[in-house]
Amino acid sequence: MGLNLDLLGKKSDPVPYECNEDKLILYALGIGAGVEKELDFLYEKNLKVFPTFAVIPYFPAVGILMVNSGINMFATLHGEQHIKWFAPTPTRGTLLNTAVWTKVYDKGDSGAMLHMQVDTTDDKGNLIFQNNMVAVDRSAGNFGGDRGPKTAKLMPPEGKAPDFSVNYTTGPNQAALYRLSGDYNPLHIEPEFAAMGGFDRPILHGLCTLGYTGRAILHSVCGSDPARMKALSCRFTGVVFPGDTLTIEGWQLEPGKYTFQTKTQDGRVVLGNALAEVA
Amino acid sequence: MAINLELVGKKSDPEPFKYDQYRVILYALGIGAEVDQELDFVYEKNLKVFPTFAVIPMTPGMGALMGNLNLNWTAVLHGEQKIVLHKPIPPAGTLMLQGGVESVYDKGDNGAVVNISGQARDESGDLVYETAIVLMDRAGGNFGGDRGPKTEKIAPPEGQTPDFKVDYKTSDDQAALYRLSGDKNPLHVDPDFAAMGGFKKPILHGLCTYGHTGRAILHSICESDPARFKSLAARFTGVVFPGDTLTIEGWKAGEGRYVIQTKTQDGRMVLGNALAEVA
Repeated sequence: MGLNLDLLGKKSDPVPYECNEDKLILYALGIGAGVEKELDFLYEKNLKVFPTFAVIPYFPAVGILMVNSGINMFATLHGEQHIKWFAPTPTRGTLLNTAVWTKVYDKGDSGAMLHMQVDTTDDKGNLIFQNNMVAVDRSAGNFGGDRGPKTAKLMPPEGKAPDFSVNYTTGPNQAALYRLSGDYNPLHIEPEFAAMGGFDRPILHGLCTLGYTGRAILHSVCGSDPARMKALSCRFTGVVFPGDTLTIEGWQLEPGKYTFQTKTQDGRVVLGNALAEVA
Repeated sequence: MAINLELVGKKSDPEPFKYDQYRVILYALGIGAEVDQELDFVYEKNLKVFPTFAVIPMTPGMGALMGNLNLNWTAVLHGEQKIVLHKPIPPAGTLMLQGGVESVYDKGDNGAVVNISGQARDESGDLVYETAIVLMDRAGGNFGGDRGPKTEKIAPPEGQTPDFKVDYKTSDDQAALYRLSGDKNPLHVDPDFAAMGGFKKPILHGLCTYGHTGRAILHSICESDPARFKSLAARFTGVVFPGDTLTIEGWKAGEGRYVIQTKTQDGRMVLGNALAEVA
């Protein structure tokens, strides 16, 4: 089966997501928030929403589009995530998620690179946030398509100490808890399934690592105010296991712009090529 | 306002409680189940249900019955909890629930004791489990009622080492997670509210301690098989804070009968006068 290129550029029907306080709190616990320091994100009274919650309502919509695109899910890696925020996330109500497959590049033997965009609005049509996802189907290259542009390399300034550095230790149950927010891929919980994918044991969701990273940025450079986070983009560069300690470091490039990276305790970069824009 | 004694003997109408496997998993994580040791309880494939999940399902009718009792809720303590399992709780589905007020006893200056019962039937009408709750309304005594029977004292045999002993460390976020299973009392998350109740910080749900205790029983003497767990009756005797370590001990007191107690790391008994029956 090949890619269903006819789908390119066609907007999906909106996929509804019912938001409520319990789901926001469950997500916050899933990305490691703790009551001692982050009560406002874990208690429905004056509840604040982690900006990276944006990847939860978007997920079913992009999932349907990925299936319809004809990719081989077993050969597909989640490469990049780009999020932009336009308005505060409501704590309750229906969010509508419209997905479109925007681009596909032919990377030859490396596979096919797919770009998909999901706009999330409230029930009145106001744009709340937008996700752009890049996935690579390693089995779908050489279809005679455009190779596409090289992506810009975004590295921390060499030899410069980061402007912020935060350590978060994930729990052994982190993936089991995170998956209750909607990504039930057995790769993140079932040892046999993980072994088939070549992993010693189940791995953490890349979007969970993204959530930890967003938390660190929010508390370090946004004064813990979700409204100040405007955009975040990153590439997934390595595997994280539940129980790993994540170190998130950021370097200011100019006022309101930070490049950042997330490493595990053994110094591997698991999330990089990353840029955050804050107000 | 006095307790509404006219409700004694009344039952709520049978009402459905619908739940899915994720609700069961959320509860399992809420009572501290670990993916490394207890995968079958936190993963929907071959999902097993902790017998103490029996305390979670509630219906509007049961809530109304309790509300109409006119208890002095700020003075009410959850005194005791019993569950009797007739068959394993299904991993998902609909239970038909009915609650009733069994009796209200007048303990004079100590308050009023309210006995509430519940039954759950599956879709084929079979009885799945029964519950019995004892509430103590410290402000509701001296209404001229019957004092009621003395409860039987159940204590571990003196000087005898327990037949099993399990340590479970609760996390700092245990109550924040447990409350997502339905008991949203701010006492368990809001420091200001907890202070009004005379606590230095939010306390763990008694039923979360009960769940940890049931987990220890299930793994220690039922070989982790929910079908072998027949009943657990226990009295709440002390406060637990999130982060505390619970030590659950059991002494065999006859065929399939164990005396149970749960202590915190400082040796205080927090759950006692407890009996478990297993097959």
